[in-house]
Amino acid sequence: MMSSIALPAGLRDQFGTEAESKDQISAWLMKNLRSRGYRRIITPIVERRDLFAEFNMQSEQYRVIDPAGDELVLRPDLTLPVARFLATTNVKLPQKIYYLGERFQAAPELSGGQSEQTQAGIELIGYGSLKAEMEGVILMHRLNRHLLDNQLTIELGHARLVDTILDALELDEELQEQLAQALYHKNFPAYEKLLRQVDAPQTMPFLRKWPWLFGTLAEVNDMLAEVKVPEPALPLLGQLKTVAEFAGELADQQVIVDLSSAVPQKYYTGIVMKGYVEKTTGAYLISGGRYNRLLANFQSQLEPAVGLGINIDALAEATALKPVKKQPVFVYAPFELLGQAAALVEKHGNYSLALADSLQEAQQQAQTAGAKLVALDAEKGMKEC
Amino acid sequence: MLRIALTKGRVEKKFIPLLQRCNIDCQPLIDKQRRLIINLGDQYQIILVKGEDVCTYLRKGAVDLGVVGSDVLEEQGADEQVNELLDLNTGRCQFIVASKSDFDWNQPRRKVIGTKYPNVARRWFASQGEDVEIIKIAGSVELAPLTGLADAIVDLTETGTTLRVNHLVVHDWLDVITSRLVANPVALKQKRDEIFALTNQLRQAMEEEYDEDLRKVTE
Repeated sequence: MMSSIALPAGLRDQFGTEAESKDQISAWLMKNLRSRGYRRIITPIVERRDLFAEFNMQSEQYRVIDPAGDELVLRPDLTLPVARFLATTNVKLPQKIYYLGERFQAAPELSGGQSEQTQAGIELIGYGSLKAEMEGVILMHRLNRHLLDNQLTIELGHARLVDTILDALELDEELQEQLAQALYHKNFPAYEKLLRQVDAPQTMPFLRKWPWLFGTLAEVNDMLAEVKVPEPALPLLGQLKTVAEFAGELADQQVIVDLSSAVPQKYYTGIVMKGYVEKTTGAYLISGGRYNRLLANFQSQLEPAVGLGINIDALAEATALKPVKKQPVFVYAPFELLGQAAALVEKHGNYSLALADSLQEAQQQAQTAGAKLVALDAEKGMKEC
Repeated sequence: MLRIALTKGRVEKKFIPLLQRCNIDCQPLIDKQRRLIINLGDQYQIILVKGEDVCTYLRKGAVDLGVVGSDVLEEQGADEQVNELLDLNTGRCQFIVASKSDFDWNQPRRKVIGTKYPNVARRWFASQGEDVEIIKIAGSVELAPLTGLADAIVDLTETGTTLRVNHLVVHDWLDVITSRLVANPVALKQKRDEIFALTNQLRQAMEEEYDEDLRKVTE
């Protein structure tokens, strides 16, 4: 019996503090965004499979069959449904949008990974200026200050940097792809080996140093002072430095730049942003960046956009902020005094009815729930038990 | 402190001399008895695990670094989840395809391959344009062709002795396997200086060892 109703692998129930912490963070974030002029979007949890077809989901999708026999998927990503919404409706752009929802990517079997993740995020659609990236940085910084005790590191990269530099070398296509993968995955031995096949004497000092080019902006600048950055990469590097300098000026904000930062999704076209803290080294808390071509897949007009996804599960685990709540008070009353009890409950936000039939049982239930118990008595009035 | 998942056994034995060359006191590791978590001073914590588990610990952020054979990385397709920092060039062996000497590789049928490394085997045969049936075997893979369980095997060999003793011949040589130093991508960013310091020390230790070996050969 047990095995027939047990949860499938990679999924879990969340109960008590774990779930309440997520609630608290989500509520704070939603309110924060709403009051700053963002508009909320809720999209369905199932979508057509084709919506996600061209994009690199790191793991398997959950498939669902609808009553008509069409194959749908539990959404593995929350940005694409927003893109679909904008491409298929007449919403006026630009728009600042926020969302909160579940996303499903099947974790590898027996890996201990979670297949369901609560993700919140923003999409700034129709904004071409670097100020949109800075808005993303400000949100990360706000999360850092409010929830993470200034422990968040913001990592900044540029999605086009690797391709732009490699394109200029006019390499064999396969070699270029292998070099890009070795850079993104920081596979130093493989990169060094592949570099032996590259004939580019002028760029070679930079190429040799490239995988090591990450750290604080000052550290990277020091390393770059010793080599010549390939010409086509300069404008991209300029953008990266502008955003990094801006982020570095925010109080107590740790910022690093990475000149071969892995691109979370193929649809990114500009600055890439990630956020993490030391105690959750296994996962990024925040990930996003600029994706100016995403909507091109669904409509003819290109729209510039910046998005940021926030892993609420990892954030709840990492946050220093624990759910605060008043101690609940249970009100025990015999049936004839329930009217008075109801009036008390309405008056106080942390009061609720004790649902037991005897005072003794009510005391036990209050103790288990960590609640205070007050009892109403026709003769003695209200007393604390 | 850097937490390092070290593959127990052969990889561990070859890694200790490299650490010693880096002037890291490895005595607690040598005298470990049954302990699985060993601190080397206040800079390093060694966690002894099976090779197959190194990337699991790394992915979950339970450790910062790992030392593992590239056979395990290849089989697990782990290159997208961990950063590979250094080829330690120890524990050298090679993937091979082997069969009994009388096996006819040209016969037109789907061959059966016994192996501990189903993904490596599948990828290699696919690269040869051949679809094969794979049987996963936990140990003593050489038995598979001898008992008729499989036509051939994909396995690791260091000297080829076990293959010869069991009358198997190498049909093809695949990737050379060595131990690798790997990192959790986020740990690499956050502990960059500590990790690079250790990587550079190890690299230098390897060069010294190589120079010494060369001297011995030329003397």
